[in-house]
Amino acid sequence: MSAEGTPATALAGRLTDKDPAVGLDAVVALRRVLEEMERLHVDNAREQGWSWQTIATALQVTRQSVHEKHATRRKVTGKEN
Amino acid sequence: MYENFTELAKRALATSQDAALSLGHDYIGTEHLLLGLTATAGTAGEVLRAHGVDLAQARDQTVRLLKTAGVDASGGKSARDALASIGIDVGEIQRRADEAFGAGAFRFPRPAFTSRAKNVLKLTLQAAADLGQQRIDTEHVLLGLLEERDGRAHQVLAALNVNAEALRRAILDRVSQQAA
Repeated sequence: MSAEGTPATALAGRLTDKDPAVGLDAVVALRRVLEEMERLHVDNAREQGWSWQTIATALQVTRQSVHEKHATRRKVTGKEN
Repeated sequence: MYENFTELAKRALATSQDAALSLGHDYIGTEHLLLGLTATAGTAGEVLRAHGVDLAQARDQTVRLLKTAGVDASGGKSARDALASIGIDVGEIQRRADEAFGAGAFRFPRPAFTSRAKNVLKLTLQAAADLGQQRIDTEHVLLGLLEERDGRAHQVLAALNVNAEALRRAILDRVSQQAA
C-alpha cells in the first residue's frame, strides 16, 4: 500500500473507487466484520442477561429476526438451552 | 435447522470449519465437509476410511487442488487488507476482543458455508427424510455430499481414486443393516 494521504483519505478513495472490484471488495469486507461484531455483542448481551426483545430494540430489528439469526446458533454451540 | 443433528454430525460440521481455518480458507466448501467427515467418528468416517480415504492424504489433495485452482489460502489477508485500507485494524479488534470476551469470541474472517455446501446440508436433510429417519447423522451428511456432484469434494475423491458410487452404496448398506 502506498502512502497516499491520511487513513481517512484512503477510506474515501476506496469506497468511491470507480473500479467495481475495489468497491465491492470493501463492501464485503465491511459486511463480514459487521456480522462478526453483531455476533460478538449479541452473545455478550445474552450472557449479561439481556432479553431477545431488548437486543432487538437496540439493533433496531424485530425480535423474530434477531432470534432466528442467533438463537439456534447459540443453542447448537451449547451457549444456551 | 441443526436441532435434529446428532452430536457427531454437529462435531463433523465444526471440524469442517476447523479444517477451513487451518488451511487458511475463508469459506467452508464441500472439500472441508469431506475432511470434517473423514476426521470424525461415526458411520460416514468409518465408511470413508474403509474405502481408503485417509485424512492426511485427503488434506494434501485438497491443498493441491485448491492451489491449482488459485484459491486464496491466506486466512482472509485480502479482506484484512481491504479493511486496513479503510482504517479498520482487524488485528487490533482481535487483540482487544480476546482480552474483553475471551479467545475465539471474535473471529475474522469467520468461514461461511459456500452455496454448494449449503446445498449439501439441504440434500442431507433430504437423504434422512428419504430414509424415513428423524435424526440427522454423519451418514446423511455424506449422502448429501455425494449428491452434490459439482463440489470439490468429488474432485478430491477422484484424486484419491475413491469411487463415489461405491461409497454411496456402502452407506446405504450400513443404514439398512442398522435398521434391521
